[in-house]
Amino acid sequence: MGMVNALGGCADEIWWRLLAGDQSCLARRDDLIPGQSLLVGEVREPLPEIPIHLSRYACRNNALSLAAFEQIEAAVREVMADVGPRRIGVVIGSSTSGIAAAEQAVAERLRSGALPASFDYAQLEFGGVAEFLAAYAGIQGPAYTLSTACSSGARALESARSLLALGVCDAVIAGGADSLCRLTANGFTALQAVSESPSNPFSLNRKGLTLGEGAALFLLTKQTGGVQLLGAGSSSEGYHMSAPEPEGTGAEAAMRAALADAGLAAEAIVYVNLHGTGTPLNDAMEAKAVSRVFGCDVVCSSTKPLVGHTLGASGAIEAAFCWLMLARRAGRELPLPPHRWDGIPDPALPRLRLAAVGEHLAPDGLAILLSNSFGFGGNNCALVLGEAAT
Amino acid sequence: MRVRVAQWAAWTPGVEDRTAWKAWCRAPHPLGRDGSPDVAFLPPLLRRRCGRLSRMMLKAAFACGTSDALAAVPTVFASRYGDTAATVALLECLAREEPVSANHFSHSVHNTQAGLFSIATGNRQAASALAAGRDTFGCAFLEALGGLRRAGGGPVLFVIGDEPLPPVFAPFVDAPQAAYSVALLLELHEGPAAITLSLGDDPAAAGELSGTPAWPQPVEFLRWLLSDEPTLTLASPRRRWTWRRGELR
Repeated sequence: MGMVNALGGCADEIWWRLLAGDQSCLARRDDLIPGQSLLVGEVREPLPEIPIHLSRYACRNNALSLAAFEQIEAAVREVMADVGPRRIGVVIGSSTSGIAAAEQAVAERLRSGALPASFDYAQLEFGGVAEFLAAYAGIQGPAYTLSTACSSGARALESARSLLALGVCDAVIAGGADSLCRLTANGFTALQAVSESPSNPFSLNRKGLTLGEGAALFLLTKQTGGVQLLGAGSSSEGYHMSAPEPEGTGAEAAMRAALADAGLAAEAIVYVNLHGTGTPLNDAMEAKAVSRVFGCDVVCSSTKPLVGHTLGASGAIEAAFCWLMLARRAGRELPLPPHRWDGIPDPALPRLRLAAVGEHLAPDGLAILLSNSFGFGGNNCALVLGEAAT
Repeated sequence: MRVRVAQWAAWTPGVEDRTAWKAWCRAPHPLGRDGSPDVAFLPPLLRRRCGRLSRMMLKAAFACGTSDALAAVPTVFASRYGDTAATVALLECLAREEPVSANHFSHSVHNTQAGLFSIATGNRQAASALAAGRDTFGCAFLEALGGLRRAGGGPVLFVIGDEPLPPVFAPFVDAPQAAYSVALLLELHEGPAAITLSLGDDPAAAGELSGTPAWPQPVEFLRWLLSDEPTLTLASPRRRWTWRRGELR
C-alpha cells in the first residue's frame, strides 16, 4: 500500500500524525475561490516528475498517483516478473482526473485564443488516470478509471476484487487519486457544503466539509495472508443527485451488502471508518444508518477532519488507514485513528461512539473493520478489511 | 464467463429504434453527430437536467425493459469522454470568475447518467461509472461481467455512449467521433447464444482485424451481435478484445 495526503508523503509519517489526530497540516489557499481564502488538506511534499515520454499525462493528479505508486513499485515489479504484465490490471478511482490542468488551459485559451502547448486532452480525460499508471508501470492488463464521485476510490477496490475473482487478472493495482482544483472548491461552495473551519463531523455545530487531495494505491492479489479485502458492497439511492436519502437507507444497503459479501455478521466489525464529511445531511443520515446496522457501541471515526475530503480518493485513502491499523497492530492492541471534533453531539442524531485521541481497542480475535464512502448521484460503497486467519 | 445479450437498444441521430438498427447493420453507414433523442418518458424536472449524453444513454437504457425490471438491475454506465462540453462550460465560467451553478456542478460528475437513471427508475442497486480511453468498451464489458458475478448471474444493464469532442479539443481526436448510445442487458447463459470475452492476443482472431472501423466500438459490437460472424476482435493501441459466440472450442 502506498499513499500521500495532507498528513504526509509516506505511510510512516501519515500513521504517526493520524494517531496523534494532527490537524496542523490543514492550510489556507486563496487561489481556489475568487476573493476567498479556503482551508484545505493540501499535499505539501514535492511530487515526483512525470517522465518526459509520458508528458502528455503531466498533471498534479497523476503526480499524486505516481507518488503513491513509487511506494509499491518494488512489490509490483516482483509480481510482474512472476505473472507477466498482461495479467496485471489497474483500476483507479478519481472524480476530478486532471481537471486542474484543464482549468488553466481553458483560462489560457480565453485570454490568448489557444490552448497552452503543455495541455493534452489525456490530462482531463477520466480514463487517463489509469492509462498513465499502466503506461508508467508497463502494465498491459485492463486499465480503467472508476468515477462515481466520492465513492470512486472504494468502488475501484470493489472492481479490482471482481477482476481477480473473474480470473482476468492475477494482480490489480487499485485505489484512488484526486487533486484540489477550482471546480470542486467553487462547486461545493455553491452547494453551501464547505466549512470555514476544519470539518466537525457529527457535531451539533457542523458546518460542512474541508476539501483535501491525495492518493492511495494497493496491490491486490489472490494471496491469502496479510491484510485482506474481505468484502465490498454498493448501492444507489434513486433519490437526488447531490443530497443523500435522509434516513440513510442507501448507506445501510451498502454496509449490509459488504457484510454479506464478506460472509460476516455486523457483530464481527470492531471499527467503522465513517464517510463523515461534516455536512449536516451526510452526518445525519450516516448516524442513522450506522446505528441501525451496528448499534451505537461500535467505535467509529471520521478521518476527514485530518486530511480533508479527498473526494474520489477518499474511499481508497480511508481503506489505507484501515490497512495501516491492521498491518501495524502490535499484539492485541489495535490503535484507533481519532475523531477530531468539538465534542458536542447533535441531540437529533443517534449518538455514535467516536474514538478519542490515544484510544485503542484490544479485540480478542481477528480485527475486522469497515469503511464507508458515499457520493453524488446517490452512489454508495462500503469495504470490509481484516486480518487473515492463520 | 458465458453471457447472453437478453435485450439491446441503441440510439444515434437517424437510427433510433431496433428496426432501424437492424437495417443499419445490414448496410452500415457513418453515424450522425447532430440531434438529440426525445425523452418524454422522463418527468419534466429530470428532463431539464439531462444534457444530450444523458438523453442518449437514458433513451437506450429505458428501451431495454419494463420500469419494474429496470428498477431492479445493477448498472454499469461508461463513456470515454463524458459530458465534456458541460465541463468546458463550467471551466470557462471559472476562468471568467463567475459563480458556478450548484446544479451544473452536481451534474458534472462522470456518474451523472447512472445517477439520473437511478432517480428516474427508483433503482437502488449498485451503479458503476467508468472510462478507459480507447479501451472503454472492453473495460466496461469486464466491469459488467464483474457486476453479473456479484449479482449472482441475474441481469446487469450495461449502457455506453459518447458525443464528438467539442471543437476546442479537435487536435486530440484519435477515434471515430459520433453521437450515440448502446445499452445491453447482459445475463449469465449456457447455450448456443452464449458469448465469451477473451483478452490478449488471440492468434485465431488476429487475421480478422481489418483496419479501424468507421464507427465506435460499441456500435461495431452491436453490428457483430446482429450478424452471424463467429468472433469479433476490437483493438486499441494497448490491447485486443475478442468476443466469441457459441460453444467453447
